[in-house]
This record gives sequence, structure tokens and C-alpha cells, in this order.
Amino acid sequence: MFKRKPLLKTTLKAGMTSLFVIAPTLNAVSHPHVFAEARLEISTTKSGGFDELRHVWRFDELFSSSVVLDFDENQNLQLDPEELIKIGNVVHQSLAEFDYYTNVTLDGKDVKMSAPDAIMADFVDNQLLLIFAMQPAGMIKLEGKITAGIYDPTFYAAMEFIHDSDLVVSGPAKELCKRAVVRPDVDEVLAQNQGSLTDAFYDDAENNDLTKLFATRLELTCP
Amino acid sequence: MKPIKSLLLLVLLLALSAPAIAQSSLGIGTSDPQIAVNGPFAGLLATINTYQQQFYRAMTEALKDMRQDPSQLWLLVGLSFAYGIFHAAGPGHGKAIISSYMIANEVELKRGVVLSFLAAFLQGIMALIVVGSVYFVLRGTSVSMTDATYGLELASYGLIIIVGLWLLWQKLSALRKTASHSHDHHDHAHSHDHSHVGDSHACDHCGHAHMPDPKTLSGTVSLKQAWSAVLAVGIRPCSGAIIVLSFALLNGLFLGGVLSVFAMAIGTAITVSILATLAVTAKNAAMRFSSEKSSAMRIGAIIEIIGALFVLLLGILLLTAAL
Repeated sequence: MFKRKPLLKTTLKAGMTSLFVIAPTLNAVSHPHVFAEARLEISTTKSGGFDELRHVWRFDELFSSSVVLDFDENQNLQLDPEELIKIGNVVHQSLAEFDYYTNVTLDGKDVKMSAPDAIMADFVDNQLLLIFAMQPAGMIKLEGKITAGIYDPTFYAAMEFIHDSDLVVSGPAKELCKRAVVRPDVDEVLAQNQGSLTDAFYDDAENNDLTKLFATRLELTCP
Repeated sequence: MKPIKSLLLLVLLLALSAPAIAQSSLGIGTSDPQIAVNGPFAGLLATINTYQQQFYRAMTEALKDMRQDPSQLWLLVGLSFAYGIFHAAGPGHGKAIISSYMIANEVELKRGVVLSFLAAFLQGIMALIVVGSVYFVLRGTSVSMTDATYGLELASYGLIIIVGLWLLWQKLSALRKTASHSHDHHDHAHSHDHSHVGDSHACDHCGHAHMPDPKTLSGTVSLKQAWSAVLAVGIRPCSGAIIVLSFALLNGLFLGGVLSVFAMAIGTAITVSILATLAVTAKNAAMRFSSEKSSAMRIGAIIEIIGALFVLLLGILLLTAAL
């Protein structure tokens, strides 16, 4: 008997060790199959506050056609108003877990945004449109550095701002702050975060906030 | 068998601690499961990811252009093939399962290549079945394409767990036999009371490899297992194929859609075959490194058990993440 145990033990030990070393952590680093052209608008108030963030997302035709097949309940190959409402509701529900892809910061700290009341869906030129607005949970003054960007932490959807003019400031105080569009260089971000990327970046969906470093964002530098 | 029990418990705990990810962040469609890779390969995989994204976009552009210009078909097929090659090189689960299966099971390389192709083609066919049945049959019912894919995904992961358990059980029982044989053998060798000569029973085992020859395994069992592995990997269609087919169907580009999906499948199969072959070659090299035959066999057995465990662990991880 004395020979049998060691062999089994060493085998299992070696097996366990290598499993822990190469243990796959499931993670959403898949490449996107969904592409959306986004428009983002920061709305300002007369008193110099930031009162609303407005989103318009136009999805690519391929993904949009799979949405048609998924939600075409009356089989007319069109998305009718009721079907569009359903799409809006499904997305509304799912995106809650991902903060509606939205990230707003004030002087480097995340700003809490309240969930949108609803997400409007529309279908124009074979493309699915999603439209919604979010308000900051508290009053935000246009002071310091404010950024707003969108990204999908799971990489399922690639959200893109094609032109710098797709990131807009509107309302009475739109001239108050200096507006800049930041498009981070992926290689640069990776180099700057080499240490943290290996651990935190791949940790899990919740801690995946580092992905926001790659997101295109609107940066307001206010007096 | 205490170590095995505690081992299974550990694997289970490990799996349960995996983060649960919703089907897709938008709630529409399904995202392909991928495995995060840290360390030296992360950079390479990032590069592969960039390429597959570019090919995916070029491929979808070609498909869109086909509405006006049918001659884009061959460009579409070529791009789909390239996308398949890069897609399979990324950190997906299919190739990990097939490679581990081949490592765990002394499958002939040729058969491994056949397995890779069968799995990839099954994936393509499943995409056709899902989109086709949604378009022709299920549209208007409560079963959406997302639901159908999700169901197949769960089935796939369940099957992967079964294949993993099956392999593990096979390997461990083989190992147990080996262990008890060597124990008999050594007892005899160290007791000098009697000689081995003439003891035909003991000599059967002298210098014997102690691992069951793969050919002595009943053929139908290993064939069944191979089919289970193919089914486990191939039953879940990939998101890219489903999206391409939906668009093709809605725009009357049926030929383009089907050819694109199968070009993707061939590309995928080629990459998976290469990776699986590399994995098995690495295992054989590791076994050759040890001069002694017995330790080579031991290393081989250890690697095989790791392969089987890996299939099981991946299955559990994928299933818990999907539920």
C-alpha cells in the first residue's frame, strides 16, 4: 500500500498546483460583436449646473438585424412600437447592472448618476437607436474638472464617438467650461498601468472599472 | 479516495467563486465566453484580439456591400476565413476544451484534427439551425434567438462537465490500477525470499508501461467520448455567425451568409487543430525529457489527469458563469 498513496498524491498535488497557476478566470474580454455610434450631450443650466446627460446610440446594421429577429413578435419583419418598447425595457433592465455604460467624474471621483426613467428604442434605416437621459443624483456645479464617457465593461458592445462633435455641451452655460475630447491611446494606457492591469484588470466584472481608462470621454475644465 | 474528494470540492469552490456574468450587458444577444489570460501571453492575445476585430468589421462591411455588389462574395468568404483563424486564436473556450481533451486522451493527432473540424462545422450548422428556425418557425413565439442560444450554451457547458468527469474517472481508475500493480511488483522485488524467475504473473508486469494501451480501451467507448467532446464544443453557435446569418437572411443574401459561416468554421478548425497539435506535442516532449520509462509514464499520467481536470474545471466555470 505504501507505494500507491504517494503516486496518487504527487499526481493530484501536481495537478492542483498547475490548475491554480493556469486556472482560467472567466471574464468578459471577448471582442465585441456589437458596434454603436454614440452621441453624448451634457446639458447645463442657467445657474451654471450640470443637470442632465443625454445619450443617443445608433447600432450597426448587422446587430440590428439580429434584434429584429429577436423581437419581431408579429412576424412582419419590422419593429413595431410595442416591440420597440419591449426592447427599451430589456435594455433598461440589463444596463442597470453596468451603470448604463456611463461614467461621469468630478475631479477624478465618480459622480453618482440616477437611472434613466426609460430607454427609448427606435428603428431607422435598418439601425436600432437607443435614446435616454440620466441626471446626476445630486446637484453638480460646473466647477473643477468634469468628465463624461461611455464604455461597456464587458466588451460586448463597442461604443464609439466617430467625430469629436459627437460629444456636446448644451444649455445656457455651455460656454462656461473649456471643452476637450480625450481619446486615450491604448498602448499608453497599458504602459502606464502595467502593474495594476495584470491583477485588477482581469479580476472580475465588478472590478473591471479600469476599462474606463480606454473610453473616449468629454472633458470639461471649469473655472 | 480522500484526496479526490477534497480535490473535487476545491474545484467546485473555485468554480463557484467565479464571477457571474449576465448573458450580455445589453440584454439582447449573447456574448461569446472567453477566458482571461494573464502573464506573458496577454500581449499576444491583445494583438490577436485587435486583428479579429478588424477582420470582423471588414467582413461585415463586405456583407453590407453585397447588397449592391454581389461580386463582394469572394471578398466576404476570404475575410470570414481570416476572421475564423484569428477568432479561434483568441482566448475562447472551444480550443481549450479540444486541446485538453486530446492531452487527456491519447488521441492520434490525425483524429484530433478531425475532431477540431467536426466541432467547428457543427458550430456553423448550429448557427444555421438557430437562425433558420427562428426565422421560419419560432418568430412570433416566446422563444427568441437569444433564448435559443442561451439554452444551447447551457447544454454545451453541461456536456463539457460530463466529458470532463468521464475523462477524469477514466484516468483515475487507470492510475489506481497502475498504482496497485507497482505495489505488488515492488513488494516482490524487495522480498528476497523467492526469485521472480518463473513467476509468470509478476513478469507480466515487469518493465511494463503500466498504463492501459489506448487501443485496448473499447473502441466504442472512446468513439462515444470523442463525439461527446465534439457535441459539447460545437452545440453552441458563436455570436458572430448568428449576427452574420440574421443580416444575410433579412437582406436576401442567403448564399453569402452560409458561405461566410462555413469559411469561418474552416478558419476556426485550422487554428484549433494547430493549437491542439502543439499541446499534444508539448506533452510528448515532456515525457521524452525523463530518461526513465517509468517516470516518463508517470509524467504522462499526471499531464493526462491535468488535462481531464482542466476540461471539468472549464465546464464548471462556464456553467456557473452562464447561470
